Amino acid sequence: MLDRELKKGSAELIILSILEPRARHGYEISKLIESRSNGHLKFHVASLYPLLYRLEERGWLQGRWVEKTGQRRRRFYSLTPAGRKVLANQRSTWKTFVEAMGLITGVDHA
Amino acid sequence: MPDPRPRSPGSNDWTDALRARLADLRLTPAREAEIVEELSQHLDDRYEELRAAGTRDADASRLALEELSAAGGLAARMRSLTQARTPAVVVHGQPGRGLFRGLWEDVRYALRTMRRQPGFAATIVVTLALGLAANTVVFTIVNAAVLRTLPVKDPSRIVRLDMVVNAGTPDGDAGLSYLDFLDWRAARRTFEDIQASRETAVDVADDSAPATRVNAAYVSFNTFSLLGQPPALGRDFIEDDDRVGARPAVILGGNLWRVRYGADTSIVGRTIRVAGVPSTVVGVMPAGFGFPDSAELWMPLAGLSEAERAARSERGLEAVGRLRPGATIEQARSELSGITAALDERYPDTNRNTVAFVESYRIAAPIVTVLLALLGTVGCVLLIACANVANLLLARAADRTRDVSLRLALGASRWRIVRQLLIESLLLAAAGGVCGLALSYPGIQLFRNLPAESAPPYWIQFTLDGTVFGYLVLICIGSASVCALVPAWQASKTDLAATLNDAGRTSAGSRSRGRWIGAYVVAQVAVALVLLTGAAMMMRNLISLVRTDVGVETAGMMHMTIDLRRPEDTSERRRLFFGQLDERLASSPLARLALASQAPLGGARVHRIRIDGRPSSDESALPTVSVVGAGPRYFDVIGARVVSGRVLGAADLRQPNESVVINERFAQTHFPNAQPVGQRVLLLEPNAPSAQQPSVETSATPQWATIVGVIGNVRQRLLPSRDFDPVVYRPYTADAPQLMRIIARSSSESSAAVSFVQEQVRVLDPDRPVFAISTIEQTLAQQIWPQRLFGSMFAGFAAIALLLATCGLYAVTVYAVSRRTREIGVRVALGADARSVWWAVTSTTLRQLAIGLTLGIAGAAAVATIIPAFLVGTGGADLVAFAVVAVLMAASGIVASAVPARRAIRLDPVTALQSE
Repeated sequence: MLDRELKKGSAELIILSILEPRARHGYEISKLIESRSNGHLKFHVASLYPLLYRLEERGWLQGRWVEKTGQRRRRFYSLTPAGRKVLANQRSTWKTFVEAMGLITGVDHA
Repeated sequence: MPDPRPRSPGSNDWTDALRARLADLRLTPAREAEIVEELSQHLDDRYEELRAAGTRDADASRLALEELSAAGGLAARMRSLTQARTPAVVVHGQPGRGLFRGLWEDVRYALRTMRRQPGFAATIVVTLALGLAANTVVFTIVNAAVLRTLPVKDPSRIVRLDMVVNAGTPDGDAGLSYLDFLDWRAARRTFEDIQASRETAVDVADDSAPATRVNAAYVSFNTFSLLGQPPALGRDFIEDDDRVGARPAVILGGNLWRVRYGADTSIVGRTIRVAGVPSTVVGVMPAGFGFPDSAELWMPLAGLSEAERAARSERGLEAVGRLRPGATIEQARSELSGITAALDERYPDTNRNTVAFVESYRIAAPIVTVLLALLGTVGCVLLIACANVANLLLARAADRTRDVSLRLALGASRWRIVRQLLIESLLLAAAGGVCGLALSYPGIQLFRNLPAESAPPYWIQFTLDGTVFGYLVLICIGSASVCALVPAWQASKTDLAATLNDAGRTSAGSRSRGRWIGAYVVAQVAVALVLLTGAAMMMRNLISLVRTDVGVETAGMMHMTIDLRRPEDTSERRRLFFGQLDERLASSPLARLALASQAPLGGARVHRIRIDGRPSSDESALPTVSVVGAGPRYFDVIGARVVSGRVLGAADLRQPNESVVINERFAQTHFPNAQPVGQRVLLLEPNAPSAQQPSVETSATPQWATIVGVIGNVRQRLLPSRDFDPVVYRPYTADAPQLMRIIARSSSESSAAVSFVQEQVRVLDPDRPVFAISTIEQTLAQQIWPQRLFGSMFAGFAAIALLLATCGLYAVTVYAVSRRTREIGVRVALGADARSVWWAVTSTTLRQLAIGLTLGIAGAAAVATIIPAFLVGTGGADLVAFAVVAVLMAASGIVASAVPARRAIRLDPVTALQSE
């Protein structure tokens, strides 16, 4: 399990990037995070949904109930234009930070 | 809404578990149901996943539920979300497009910040209020005197006309003669109409009250119709009123009508005695109207004396014209020049070298210049205030870097950061503006209550109208922008990577900030120094003016005036009257009284003089002297010192053209090596009537007179060179003046002397009041009131500038100390002595002070070259003023930085090291 502090700081960035290609619902988001991080990152219900609601409140995500024939309706989240901007900002910040860390600590990143 | 379809068998109902965890949040039922539905689905999916991986049913449910409680709990995380309480349709705080979303939040944030640091906010508000108040006061004056104009119909077409003869030479004269005015009016084309007027003062007498002296004006009959201001009562003048021989008609001013006649409407048609002439009141003007300056009574031009109407050389009138619609001032000017050229040719004796002037109607140019200089000064004061505020904001910005970085990381744009600071500045500036407006009231009241002699013309009203208010709003916004500009730009450049650094303050940022603070300090000091120098020069000049040496002891000396300018007051009658009056005055037991054409410091008629035995030259090259007509006892009453010879006495009255007395200055100028007594001089008639003595009839041909005595200098006119003027005294009977002064010297109560004189005059003629009663000091004060008023204003504003600059230096040093508290602690702990600590803290500020002083001195030197134009009688660069001001500024600066430094030295090193 990665350090809680690190996870907290990057949670938003994670969510935003997962949603970048297309809209997804909550369960899908949590599964994707787990699979893409090779199991290092896990978001439980209790931490995921409050975060989604918070991002939605800020206007970075938009949640919508979608009903498909023959299925239960589900809540899908997608990025708003503001959200996309924030994503771009945070991405570049993160990149700078990681580079700086690498230079200082001699940690090489893939 | 919960899904109504039946579930697959074996599925769980998570609702209860979820609702139990959400209960604390007190959600609306609809919202709760929504969240429950969403989370239920997630848990269902999780359950399915676990089951698919082979977990048993009960375990899968348990594991799924465990996740719900993992890491702190659902409710805890959702508590801060507003969304938790309401169904999510539209959310607040959505950062939408555009520059102005979230404006209200910024305002609320700004107000919260100010409430948290009230002292900081109060300092800024007071600083700005001082600058804004000064600007409001001066702009009100400028607006009233320069921007606004006559309150008449269509004022843009009203122009002032003037004519100057022999411009630039000592024989030069300005003003219009009656005959020239008639010619101008007859020949006009670009003007709709032209009027002429002459200010005067007259005695008004009737049976309702004692005779009183009133400001009045002779006006052409078309005056009020040209101005578009008809009388409020009765009728306007008609052309017939303005003919010689017509029944004298007058129009009263509204105030006079109310005060003297109790607003009695039956005044129209009544006869009153104006300047001794029975005249019919035909109309009353509205109160507050006083064209051209402060007139309360108007008479037609036909009332002018025969001499004024007949002689083209008598130039007592001023004229105003109304342009035709579409005509320009240039066109009017060229037309007028053509007319004057024609007159030039036809009347070469009187109209040689005349130049016509057409200008928009406004106050005299020198006053406009002074007012604009004042505006510039207060503008500088405001800039200094803004520099102070900017420094305060910069200092505080340093403490908010972490704040800003966080906001930037959370997605706020740089524009939002800058905007927030601008809004804060705007709010502070608005508060400063309100306070400044309140502060400006007393200043404007001061101008509204100027004494009568210095009061402006009736059309200048000092009011806070829309223009002034608009200007205030403008400079508030301007100040806010200037103050916030650099701090905001600075703050928005915060390096994000720095947030992750614990100290939260990058050295690069604070270096740049320090440079800006330094720049503001230098600018403040320099500007303040320039303002102080200008003010100091003016004050020095003012002080020397106030201490003007009259030449004689002025304590207990008063003077008053009577007017003998009625048509029946011939030269002979005047002589008779004065003779009788003088007899009576000689008998006064209370005071010593004498008659004279002017009192000391009362100006004089200027004559050219020929001296016997000097080579005779062209009249225009002869020297000029002040001439005073003196009565018996005059020299005794004023206390003149006899240098040689004798003074004039009663016997000389009978032979008025034989003897004269001169003053020392005259003697030094014209008889430096010889004895003046016994020499002969010839006084020539003056070219121009002076304000102190209106035109007199030309008396008999000039005669050679003998100098019988020399007295010590007594000042009559205030010359620019500050020297005493050369004066010649002759018996008043040589040229009995139309305005005669009574000089009184009494050791006791002055009102007794005044009453005595009034009684004596009343016995001789009850319709003549005694007026213009004043002491010599009051006369001087009246003559130098512009220097007093404006000099005080400049000094006041410069003092404010000094105060602001000093406070700025103090604040900056305090800030420096607080930033370096740790460093100081380290130094002291390592054994540094007080002096090195003091130096470390103040060196930067002192260096900035020095640079500011240098720049300021350079600026002051530049300003010093233009200031003497405003002043009466200073000699070039006033080094004393420079030195005093520079020392004053340096001293304030050093003290201002020393005080915080002392506190720094006394810091406990342990506490210092622990501070952040």
